[in-house]
Amino acid sequence: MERARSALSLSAKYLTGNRETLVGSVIVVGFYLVSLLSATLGKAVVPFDPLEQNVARPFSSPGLENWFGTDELGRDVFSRIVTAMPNAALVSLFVVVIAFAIGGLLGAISGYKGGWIDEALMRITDIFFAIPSLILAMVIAVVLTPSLANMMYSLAIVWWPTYARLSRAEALKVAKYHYVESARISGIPTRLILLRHVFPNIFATLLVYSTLDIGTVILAYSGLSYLGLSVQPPAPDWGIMVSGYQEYMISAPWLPLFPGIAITIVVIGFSLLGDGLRSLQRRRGQ
Amino acid sequence: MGLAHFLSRRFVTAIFVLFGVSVITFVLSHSVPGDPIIAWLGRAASLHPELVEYYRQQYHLDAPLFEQYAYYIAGLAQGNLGFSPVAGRNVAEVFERSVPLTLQLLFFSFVFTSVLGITMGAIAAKFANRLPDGIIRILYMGGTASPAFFLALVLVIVFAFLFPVLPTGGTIDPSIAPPPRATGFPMLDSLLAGNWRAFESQLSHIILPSMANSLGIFGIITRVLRSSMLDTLSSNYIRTARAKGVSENAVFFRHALRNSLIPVVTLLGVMVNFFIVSSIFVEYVFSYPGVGNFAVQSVLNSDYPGILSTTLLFALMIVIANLTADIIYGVIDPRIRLTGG
Repeated sequence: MERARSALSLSAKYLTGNRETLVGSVIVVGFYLVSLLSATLGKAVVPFDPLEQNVARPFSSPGLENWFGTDELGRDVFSRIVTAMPNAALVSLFVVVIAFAIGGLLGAISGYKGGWIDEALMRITDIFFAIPSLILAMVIAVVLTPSLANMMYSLAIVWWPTYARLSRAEALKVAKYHYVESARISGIPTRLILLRHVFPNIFATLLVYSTLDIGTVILAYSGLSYLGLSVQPPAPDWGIMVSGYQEYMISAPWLPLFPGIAITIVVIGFSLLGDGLRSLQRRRGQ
Repeated sequence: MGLAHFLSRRFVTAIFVLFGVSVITFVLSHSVPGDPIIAWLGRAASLHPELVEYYRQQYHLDAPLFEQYAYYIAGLAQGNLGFSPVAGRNVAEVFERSVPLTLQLLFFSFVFTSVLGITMGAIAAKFANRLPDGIIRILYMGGTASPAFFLALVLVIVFAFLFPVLPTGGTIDPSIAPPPRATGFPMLDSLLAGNWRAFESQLSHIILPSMANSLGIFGIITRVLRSSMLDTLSSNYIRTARAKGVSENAVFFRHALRNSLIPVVTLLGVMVNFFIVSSIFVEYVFSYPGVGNFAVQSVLNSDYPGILSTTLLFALMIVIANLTADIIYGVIDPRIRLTGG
């Protein structure tokens, strides 16, 4: 317990000591905090109702009243961006958690057991790797008819193969550890070895990867919603906002720019934090 | 393991993967909601129900799924990819025009990405942990963290609004007559016909889309090259070269950069994979009539011959790219063959 606490505080010290990682952590924490507030309190956290049209004020430039300006229907762009945040948070977390669970489990079993199970799984992931996940998700999203939930499922279905490969590689390493071998020789059931020794070893690696990966999921998600395969308007969503505001890019360039920048900043946050965690893991390993 | 064995193993895997992809996409595209015959016939479907029945039999849509798959593969072997309702033409005809356009786009994206990625990587290694390194890091992080449609849009805003110097849509100036068809690749055809005006216009039309493709991925090359150069620069043979008086420039370019490029070769597959996804959005934003644009239209209109063929084509491109990367890598670094991967 004491050791765990000191390791934790050391990690925290390392993460806040590195400037880039600190920036990443602030962005990520801010992203989840605002998403949580926006999801629970709704309109109370934003200056304007994101759906309320104001025909008297279309296309106002960014300013003191409408921080990010207003769109063609006079809706407040800032409020719309904040209201759309929980979608991105929910989708990315859901997809990564499912991919982590399915991929992690399949990979661990296949790496540890080897044999035909391993061969079969690796050939299946080969096939998945030949189709870009975004394209496969796009096709599945159409099959399921476009909505936020269906897009979330489509991404979750195609996202696990990378996790399976990672987890398999780790499991191969772990299986060679002396204490794992001795556990096997002493007749401890495979199920227990997987549970007690293999999973905990794989967990950290997958966790670091998934931090980086949340950003990638947000990019894929915004791409799908840009094409109209997720939330349906008028509900605000970053990808849809960019595609909907695209036609005003010359007269009111801030309209598509702000939601786009929001995506970029959040994704940068996850990759900075992920990089930090990765180098922390490498240090701990040494 | 010899080179021949290594290659044949890779080849068999590639065939197997393509077969798997065709099964997955076939099953998926046949689950697309909406009756394709009714969508295709439009109003005629309700006026002439017997037509619907006729075409359903004509295209074997009443046969069991695995039988339909057999018909599909048999057709594929004869170059028949089916009829695309959204294009109003056979998919093969659509591909005849759009595949060369997309390949041209991929080629230029590849050139831009390599030049940008390698230059930036070399500079970042030269000035490691100093200001230029930091600026480059910010640049590629921004590019990598932005969705393709957003990068494309920013380029349009900058080059159509702030500095209107480059065209932001289409493939050639409409006032210029396109060159006669010879190879099928419009830019190559212009060159062969000696039509510089057409070539210049085509080149100016392809710059922005390929830049949009490059901005999202050059960072991977920069990052890999930077770290591989830093490794190389601290190795013994570089120290020897310096000790025997080789000039710093020669050490940097001839010894370090050349050897550090080997890991970059493995990124070929990753790059093609990225370009394909990115092109879908980039072609859409720049209204570039390539395969990516056709894929989006097919998806948005439940056009399943279109969906099926584009997905299969993309998989084929990725498999070929990976195979090429494996072969190049296996030839320049024989150690790889031993692992059999």
